[in-house]
Amino acid sequence: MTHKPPQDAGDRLDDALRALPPAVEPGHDLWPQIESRPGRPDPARAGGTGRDRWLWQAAAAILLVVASSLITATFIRRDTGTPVAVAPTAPTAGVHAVPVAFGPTHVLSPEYDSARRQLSALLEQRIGRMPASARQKLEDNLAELRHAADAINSALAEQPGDPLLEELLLNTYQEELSVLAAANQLSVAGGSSSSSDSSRVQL
Amino acid sequence: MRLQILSKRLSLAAVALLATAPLAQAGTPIDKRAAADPKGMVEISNTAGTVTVTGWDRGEVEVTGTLGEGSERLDFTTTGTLTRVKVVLPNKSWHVEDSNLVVKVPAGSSITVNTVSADIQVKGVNGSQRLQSVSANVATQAGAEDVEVKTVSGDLTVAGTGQKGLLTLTTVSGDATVTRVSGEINGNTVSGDFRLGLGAVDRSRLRTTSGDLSIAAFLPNDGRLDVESISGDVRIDLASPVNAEFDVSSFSGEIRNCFGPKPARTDEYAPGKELRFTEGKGSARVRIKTLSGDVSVCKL
Amino acid sequence: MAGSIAAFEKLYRLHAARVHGLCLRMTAHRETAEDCTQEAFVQAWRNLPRFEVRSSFGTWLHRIAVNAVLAQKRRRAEQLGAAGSAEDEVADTFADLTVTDPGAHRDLEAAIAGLPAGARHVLVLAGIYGYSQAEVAAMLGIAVGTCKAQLHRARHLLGARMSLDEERT
Repeated sequence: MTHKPPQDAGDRLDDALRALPPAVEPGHDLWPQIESRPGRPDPARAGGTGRDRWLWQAAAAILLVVASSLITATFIRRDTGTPVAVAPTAPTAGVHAVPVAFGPTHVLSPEYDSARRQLSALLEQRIGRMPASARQKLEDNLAELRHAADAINSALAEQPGDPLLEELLLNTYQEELSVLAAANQLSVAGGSSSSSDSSRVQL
Repeated sequence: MRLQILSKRLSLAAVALLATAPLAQAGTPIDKRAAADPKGMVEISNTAGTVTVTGWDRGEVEVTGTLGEGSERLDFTTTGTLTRVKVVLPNKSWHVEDSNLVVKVPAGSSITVNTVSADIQVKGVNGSQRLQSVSANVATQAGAEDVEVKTVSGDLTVAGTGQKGLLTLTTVSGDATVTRVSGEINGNTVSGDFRLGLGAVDRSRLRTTSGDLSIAAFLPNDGRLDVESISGDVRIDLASPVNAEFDVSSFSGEIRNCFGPKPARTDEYAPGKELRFTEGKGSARVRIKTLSGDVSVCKL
Repeated sequence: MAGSIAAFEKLYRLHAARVHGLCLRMTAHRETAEDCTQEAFVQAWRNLPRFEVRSSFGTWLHRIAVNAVLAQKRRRAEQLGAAGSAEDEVADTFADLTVTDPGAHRDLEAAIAGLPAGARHVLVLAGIYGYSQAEVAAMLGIAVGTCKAQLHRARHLLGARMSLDEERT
């Protein structure tokens, strides 16, 4: 029989507060009203930059957050009865041809993969703006990250469930997203083309 | 009649001279200034060329330098406490010369600088800094405020002033060299090499995929150093007195240390080594994880 | 653009219940809580490019939600004018007195809803959602000292009410 020290009223209150569920579903789905709110996205207010740039940044930010939350949210068991060889990544930049591996027995959820592909596709369109040398370095480094993920997955095939390997793999996928997002953000931030700001001092 | 012909010849000659003038003189000189809040925000944007920002003790922002030929214009606007300096290029910028911006800002300003390939150099700015570029090199001083530097392939150089602040470095392939920075230092790179000469580190999270990390620092009580690498080598040199708990693990890299304890295999039948020991009072914490990168932990 | 909307809906689905929980307990009024939740997501959508990936998206959303709650409170105060603020003051003054009212019998959620606004805001953010005093103070735009005092008051009021409930059962 364990002996717990007697709780005072303050402790009981703290426990009771912490036990309250943080999530409370609204009485009805609020999404339709949010989606249809007038003046919803407002590119003109986003730091005086053009509409296109704002949309790209918003899209990238959303995808990054969705993908990041999904990296740890759901692992799907591979639904084969036989041991699965770790699939090598596709040689071309951007899109993977196979589901994203997490060790020999799991893949990351399709929604993560979808968000990641969209982020890659977004970047593909922006990457043309970068100086050629930077573009090449970016592609080389994204390939480097994929090789790192492959190496860790191979190691996991021999040591399934190894916590060091799993942590390194999660962080590598996270790092890939961060690089995609940073490259996307940097490619739009530096260049400025004509915009219609008023009240400027013109040279 | 003769005078007219003469003046026409002279003006033709003048035109001819201009046409053959060297390109360096083709940019338009900039000379603008506006009053600014001593602790306001200054945003600077330039695609190619250079951006030099210096803090001064006047309550105004001054922009000098040259606007590259082919640029559409320089925007210099003030809205409340925000001053914006932006080189604007035409939509189809097929041939634009570099612009060189020399900006002086009130020393207490916070600055944001965005470039694609224009090198950034900052000195004497005491407010927070956010410096971003795609391929440019960035050099700045870090004081007590937040400094964030981000590039794809540019190299970063940060010199501390001895004060404790928050420094965040992000590169894809660029290298970083940091000296005399204290407080909280976070860094992220894929293949850049980071050489960090730090003072007292309260907290530091560093991550690399294949770049090498080399850190010299002092860890005070409660100091935290977390390093993760896939294949890059990690070298940590700590200044005395060292009072820390060490937790080092590597799947296939070597672990070397000068403190004495030897790494042990995590599993008899598998690769993977770990090294866990306490030095001194063990009040700080050092955690290092690598896949195949070698680790070396020593005293300075 | 359509892809972004679908992706943002996904974010809404992941975070809506938590944001709504926060708004409901801070406003203590169902309809207002739904308005604040909607407002929070609309503001988040508008400000998404400014989100720093390093920080937690949930925390960022909560900050926006708290701003929505405070803005709504200010609007209500402006609409009600002198009458409204007097009403709040009365509720505030009598909060301490209702503790000893033998008619008061509430479960914890109802008890929280019955707290005066300032104390309730701090208690919800610190006690239920686990934010530190410094974070709560920053979110509410108050001094840390004020935050501590409000939390102390909230706990005192709640504690007294819960003891009252225990005596009954």
